[in-house]
Amino acid sequence: MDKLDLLVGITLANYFRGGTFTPEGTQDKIRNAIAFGNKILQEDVAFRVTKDEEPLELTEAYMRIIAQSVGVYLQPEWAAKEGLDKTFFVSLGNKTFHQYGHADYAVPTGKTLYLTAMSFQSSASNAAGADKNQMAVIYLFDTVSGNLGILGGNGGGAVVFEKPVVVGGGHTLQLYGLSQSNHAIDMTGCAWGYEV
Amino acid sequence: MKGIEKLKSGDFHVMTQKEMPDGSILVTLSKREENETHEFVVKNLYKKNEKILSEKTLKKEKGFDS
Repeated sequence: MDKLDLLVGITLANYFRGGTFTPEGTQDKIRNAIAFGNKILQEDVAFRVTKDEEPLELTEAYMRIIAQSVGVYLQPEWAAKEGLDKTFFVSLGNKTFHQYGHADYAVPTGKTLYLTAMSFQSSASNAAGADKNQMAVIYLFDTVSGNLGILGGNGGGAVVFEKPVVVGGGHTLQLYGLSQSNHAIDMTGCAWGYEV
Repeated sequence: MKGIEKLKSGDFHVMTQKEMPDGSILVTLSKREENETHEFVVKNLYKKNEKILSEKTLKKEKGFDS
């Protein structure tokens, strides 16, 4: 499998994850998922489907792209290009040891949120604490599924997820900030990804 | 569309929630193609007794050389 095939496969996997489709609709979605400078010939998009029962289920899909100027994107990049990306911030002030707060976002029913990274920063709320350790922890929490991710440290940090963290439709994402400092600190937590 | 409706329909690119001293939440929502930012203060967000305390729409300022 060459690189291009792999990228197309990733797009398909995200579209048809456990779902059903009609071949016509699928081809439209594939065309929408790939930005192309010249053209992708209709007849170069081929599908093999099972026909034992309706509706059809995708088993394999093949695509041969012959245009010379074609942009193929990983889904996070494509989502940002299409305006489906989302960034969440939580801003908390004056939190002393073990005090916390959170931001909430309920993923709309029918959509799925994929988070690809999280980060945080922490600093003293007052000048007297400015040269101390600014210990803080940030959690990603799903009110249905539980903990999704955790990141802590002194002053800040960031992590990019090797695979997206998934929050299903109807679930509520909570982005927590927890002070681990022995003085008052301000914290900002951030998580970002895309929603489809 | 009001800010709370934009939040619940996911109609935004960037969301910030800031905890206020009285326990309410200042929510800011923005979308790249829109020339405005929605800002509202809410108490008990996503709960039965959710209440919007204030709301306003801010026009985005253009850059220095725009």
